[in-house]
Amino acid sequence: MSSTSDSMSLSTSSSGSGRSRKDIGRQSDEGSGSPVVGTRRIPMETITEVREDPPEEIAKSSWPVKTGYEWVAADVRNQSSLFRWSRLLNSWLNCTLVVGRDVSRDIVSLERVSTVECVCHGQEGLTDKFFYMYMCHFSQLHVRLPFDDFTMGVLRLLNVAPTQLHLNS
Amino acid sequence: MQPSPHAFLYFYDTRPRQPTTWLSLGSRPSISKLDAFTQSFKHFKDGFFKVVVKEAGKPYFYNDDRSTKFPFSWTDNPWQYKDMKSEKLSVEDKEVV
Repeated sequence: MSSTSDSMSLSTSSSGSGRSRKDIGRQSDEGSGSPVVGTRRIPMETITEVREDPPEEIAKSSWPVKTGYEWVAADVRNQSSLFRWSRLLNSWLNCTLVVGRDVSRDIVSLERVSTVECVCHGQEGLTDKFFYMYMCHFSQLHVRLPFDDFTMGVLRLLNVAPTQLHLNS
Repeated sequence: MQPSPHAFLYFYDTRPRQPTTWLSLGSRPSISKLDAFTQSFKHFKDGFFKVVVKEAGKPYFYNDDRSTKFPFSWTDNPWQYKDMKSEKLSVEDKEVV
């Protein structure tokens, strides 16, 4: 499945990147993800697992924004994710290999983000339980989870989260 | 030959900026060893999602002391590498370089 996902560029789904807040409502109408999936329809058995996103959550773009991230550049803080819709996320995950073949898929769960979440946000709890990843990591750079020791060593030395490294690097 | 993070980063400079934004690695022109990855990613920024580590995944992502094996969250102090001196490398890494 990984090799066939090559043809799917993330740019095909990025029509939302330039959209302003007022367009969000319209985007949610087409949130079924059909323009993205194209010829690769979701297998039926996974469709049944998809939970519909509560509409009120999508509508609340005026939710209070997390504070305490003034040290992060505004373009990072204001960048929302297309994957606020679990349908859209799942349609991508159906054709993108995220967890390596030799590892149980049960090591992680891949979840959509909420409207107010930003890639630079932390856990704000005692223990770190999750991290963010870009779909591009898997669909185009062929990163697989879990990371190997070398990858984690580089991240540790640079002291950056996986999404903090620019993908052109 | 073992891939070594130190030896790998020897070939790069990082330029952390304030306020913090995506960190770019720039290859050091004089000693560029690796072909630059020329494909440009213009649209990666709006495609992030959450990876939640489940119980079965903990050994892959956490150390024994329950610290994470790499930063899970963005940090405001990425390490700045500029012209890393080869003396900083270990003996093994020097052989790699």
